[in-house]
Amino acid sequence: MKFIKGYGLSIAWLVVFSFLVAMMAKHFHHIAVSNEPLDEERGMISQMKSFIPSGSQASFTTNLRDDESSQGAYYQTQFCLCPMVLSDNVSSNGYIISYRSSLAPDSDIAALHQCDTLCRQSGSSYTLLLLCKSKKQ
Amino acid sequence: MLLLCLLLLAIVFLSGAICYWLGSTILAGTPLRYIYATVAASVFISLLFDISVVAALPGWSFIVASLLAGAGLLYYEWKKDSAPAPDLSGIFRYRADLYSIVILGLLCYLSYLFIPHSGRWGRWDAKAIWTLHALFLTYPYEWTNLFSPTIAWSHPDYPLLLSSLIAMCWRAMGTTGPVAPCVIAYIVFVTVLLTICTGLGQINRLLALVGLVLFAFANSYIKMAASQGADTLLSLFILMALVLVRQHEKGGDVKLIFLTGFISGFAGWIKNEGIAFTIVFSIVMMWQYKKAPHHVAYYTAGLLLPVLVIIVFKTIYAPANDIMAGQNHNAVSRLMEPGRYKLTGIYFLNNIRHLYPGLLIIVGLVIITGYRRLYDSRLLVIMLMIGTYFFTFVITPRDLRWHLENASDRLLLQLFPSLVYVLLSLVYVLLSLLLESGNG
Repeated sequence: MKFIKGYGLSIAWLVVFSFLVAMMAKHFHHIAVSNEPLDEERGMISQMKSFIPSGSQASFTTNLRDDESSQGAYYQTQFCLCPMVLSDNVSSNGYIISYRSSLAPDSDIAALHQCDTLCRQSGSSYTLLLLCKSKKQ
Repeated sequence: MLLLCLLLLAIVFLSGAICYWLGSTILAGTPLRYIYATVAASVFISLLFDISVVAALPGWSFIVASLLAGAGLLYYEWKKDSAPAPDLSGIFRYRADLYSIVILGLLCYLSYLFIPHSGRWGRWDAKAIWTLHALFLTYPYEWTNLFSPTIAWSHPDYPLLLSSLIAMCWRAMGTTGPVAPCVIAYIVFVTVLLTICTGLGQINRLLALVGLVLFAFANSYIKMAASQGADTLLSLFILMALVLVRQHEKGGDVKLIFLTGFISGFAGWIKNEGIAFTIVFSIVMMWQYKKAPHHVAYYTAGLLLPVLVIIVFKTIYAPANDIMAGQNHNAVSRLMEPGRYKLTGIYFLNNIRHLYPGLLIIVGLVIITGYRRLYDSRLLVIMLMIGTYFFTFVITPRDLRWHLENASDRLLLQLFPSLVYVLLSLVYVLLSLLLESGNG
């Protein structure tokens, strides 16, 4: 009886602990894979829609994956939104915006490249590098 | 991934060394020893990370330095005491009881309440201040751009402990994803709960359960913890410093006094309010140790490293704080305006009523049972902190109503775990005294 009580409680403890670990692991995994834009990103996206050709369906993701960028079914517009401190071209909320579109591949590659490089140098590259996929008509 | 594994190894190794160092103190037989060791190790490693960023050293250098620091501490202890190897058998002999299962169940429930408020990148403060600063620290090139006036909206004068912890993990992971700040926020939240639980559990196990149950009703605190800001981390350090004060009362050990200085000092490396805590707490401690100069010396020795870090940061790198920079001759006139006291008082009382409904009952109990019979330095520190916050609002150069609406609840929540701990332990002592006098 003593044996069962001792080990029974230990097993119960392990079960509760495993449940806690599994619950939190699931939550953090959800955080890691979530593509939902943040409110601030939504604000940025509304600003960026002016760059998207009218009539095309635009969707945005913060996950820039190689397999997506190689798909041919979408026009791709890549935005570099960076809390920049090295450039004068800073928007009212502190972000610099530059973009490159596969609709016009040479459109602003230099600006995008500069934004990305300076952004990384200044310590910023996080969710603000967005990819817009515009479905081809 | 290798770097992340090495970082975890460094934290475990240095925590183990600090645990061994604490082996001769009153903390030796309690889980508090592991909590303090892990927190102190993490803080120290994040400081080494900061040094590696400032000195533009390779990403692995701070991990090597941490391992060397751990080895050095172990060697020092072995050589000094000729002590035997640390006895870890207690960990493997652990047997669960019903109490530990109930505590774990409560932790599960509180984690369940934490999840809905915990999202990618947290609330605005987390994104605009703490993780943004962490990004600058993750990429060591031109990290001083963090202090540029162009991004003054991100409060570059704020201390860097939380940002360093996030940046350290990001550097080790090789990516700047949203998981690290989220996990750190959860670990800090759980550490607060475990510290409350073990701190109160030393007095009475039932008190520990009551403490955790009070958190289940503190939705505002759970929300704040999940927001990934630095307020919860500061609340943890305030709580840890106050829990250590009780350990001194049980049996003063110079190592614990040194650790108290270390913890209270690093509270100032979390937020500017933490600096206020370091000053207030140190004054109360110095007053308490006034007849024991060697205690003052050990406390000051613990304080030395964090205070040095804060002074270097504030004088060399950080721009002036907006509240301090905005002080001029008008500060005196603001102090003379009764309306500002009235408005601040109304906000404080409303916040206390909304944030601490359960605690108000405990405050009532403390008053009824006769607080005057006891002097408690921990409660004095909390009251002085509330007073400091109150006067900071009275003299703020910003619009008072806006400032109160945006910050007063957060500031009071920083003191919530400490209030739970101190008031519950006081209630227990006072009720024991009442029962004793009743029996007598």
